[in-house]
Amino acid sequence: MTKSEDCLEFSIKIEFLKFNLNVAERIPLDGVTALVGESGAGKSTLLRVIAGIERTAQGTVRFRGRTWMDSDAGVFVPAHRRAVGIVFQEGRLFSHFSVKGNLDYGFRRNRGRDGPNWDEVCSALDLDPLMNRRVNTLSGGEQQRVALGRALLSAPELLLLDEPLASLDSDSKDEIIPYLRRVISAFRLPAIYISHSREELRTLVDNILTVSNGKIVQRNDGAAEVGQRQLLNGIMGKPMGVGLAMCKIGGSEVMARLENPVAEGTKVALAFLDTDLAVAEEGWPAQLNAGEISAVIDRVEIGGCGHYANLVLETEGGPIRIKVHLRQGGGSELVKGLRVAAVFIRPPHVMG
Amino acid sequence: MSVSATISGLPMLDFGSVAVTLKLAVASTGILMLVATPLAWWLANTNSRFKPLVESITALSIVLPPTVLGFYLLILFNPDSPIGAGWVKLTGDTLAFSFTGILLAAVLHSFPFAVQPIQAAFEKVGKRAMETAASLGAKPLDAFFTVAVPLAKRGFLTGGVLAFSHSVGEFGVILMVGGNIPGYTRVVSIDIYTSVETLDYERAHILSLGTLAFAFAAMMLLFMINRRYRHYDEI
Repeated sequence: MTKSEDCLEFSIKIEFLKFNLNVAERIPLDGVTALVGESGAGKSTLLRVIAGIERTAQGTVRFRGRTWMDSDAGVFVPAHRRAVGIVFQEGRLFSHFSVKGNLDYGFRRNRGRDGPNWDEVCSALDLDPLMNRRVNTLSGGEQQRVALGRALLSAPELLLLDEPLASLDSDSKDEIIPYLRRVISAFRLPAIYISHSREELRTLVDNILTVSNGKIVQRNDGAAEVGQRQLLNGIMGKPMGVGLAMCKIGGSEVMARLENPVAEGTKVALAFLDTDLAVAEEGWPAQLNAGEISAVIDRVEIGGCGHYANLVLETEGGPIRIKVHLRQGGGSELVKGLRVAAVFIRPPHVMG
Repeated sequence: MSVSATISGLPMLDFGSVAVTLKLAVASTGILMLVATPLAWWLANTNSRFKPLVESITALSIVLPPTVLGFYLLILFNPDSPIGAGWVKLTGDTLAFSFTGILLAAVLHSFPFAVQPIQAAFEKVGKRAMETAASLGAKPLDAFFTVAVPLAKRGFLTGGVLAFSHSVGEFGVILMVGGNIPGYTRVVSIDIYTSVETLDYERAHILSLGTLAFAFAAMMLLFMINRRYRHYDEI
């Protein structure tokens, strides 16, 4: 289990006239978590509660084991002592300062926390050419770069991005996404990212939480959608139709794709992405799929504050590593020695 | 207290009223800025149900005839009233017919002219800038002085100039509370009135023209500075 030091935990209730937010979740602090959902779903409110600028919420917020809010105990750490950097949709640069003055504002108030240094941030975001400009002369994309730099220089422990690209046209978006990616990977800051755009999310995000009507309705793992390549040993079976063949993995038969014809009975390697595979209980009712093989759980490692489990499965074709998503509080049924079915959602490739 | 000037072709004139007026305007503007700022901040940010009440009281002197305010102040400042008596006990001086008395009256009468522009400017700055400052590690008072006040600069300027100018133009309240004591409570506006009453049109002309020039210069300054800081609003 991930230790609480690496999590942002919250259990928040907030009631407005027309809208209630009621969420409880643990978010891993080792990457970028996206909050998605239609506008008005409560994403921004959640972010504001985490940042400490929304004070009317009930419940608890804990960051790396430190209590930021506990309404029952009367604990509320104000925003300026939470070390949270926020980039808002509209930049919110201070118009009475130059670019340099804006950057300096956060930098002078980081109270000696370890954070990205001035030169690193300015070079990562190409801020030096803008330094003496007045903020009202900046383009939308430039403003967001400055806002991002200003937040980073305040040495936050958590970065909150509230639709930072939403007010930009698509050219400016294309311009700033590489900066965002560079900053996120260079400074290794945990971040929560609100966005509507799947495009942005696919390239930036590790976890996705879907918020709807003030509740978290879905968790899944953005990184896993890219998938990791795995290999299993099998034996070539009968071809069936164009580009498909049955292959044997131990005692099971699996449908596989092949580019070049391979003689029946040949030993082959079957390649697949872990996202092509699902783990099911033994004896589950077979659905439309490419076949399943029997497997035994060899190792379970729950990560991401309970968001996923890394499993090592022993099969007749060799070991498989797979990351599976967990429902909240789930994962306890996954134990070493449990016999499961590894189900191919998509056929693996026969490696020639 | 008396300032004299010789203007070519004119006899020696006593311009003590100009000194009293300037002293009154400077002091009342200073006091107003100190008192109006926290009140304006509170009004701009509160959701209290008392807000309309406080706003109404603050704005009263815009609609009230100066003589009404002056009349009530005169009653309050009377050495027989608790406030007037307390003041006499404390300082040995009366509030009515004194400079302190007209200063208090001017502050009260100019109050809305200082509060309202500053309140409007704070409302325009909004909660967002303060939230942003807090997220960057600024404590509330730090954020107030480094973000809210600079961004509300135009409001302070407008409030300051209006309060100053209004104090310069004060007539009815001062006449009621302060009377017309040369060197103490006789301000320019009353001086002009007295000059006209005594048919000293020359004196009335000089004072009126000077006041006109001052008023015009103050307004020019205000609008020019407003123009200079308009980029504050562009984000």
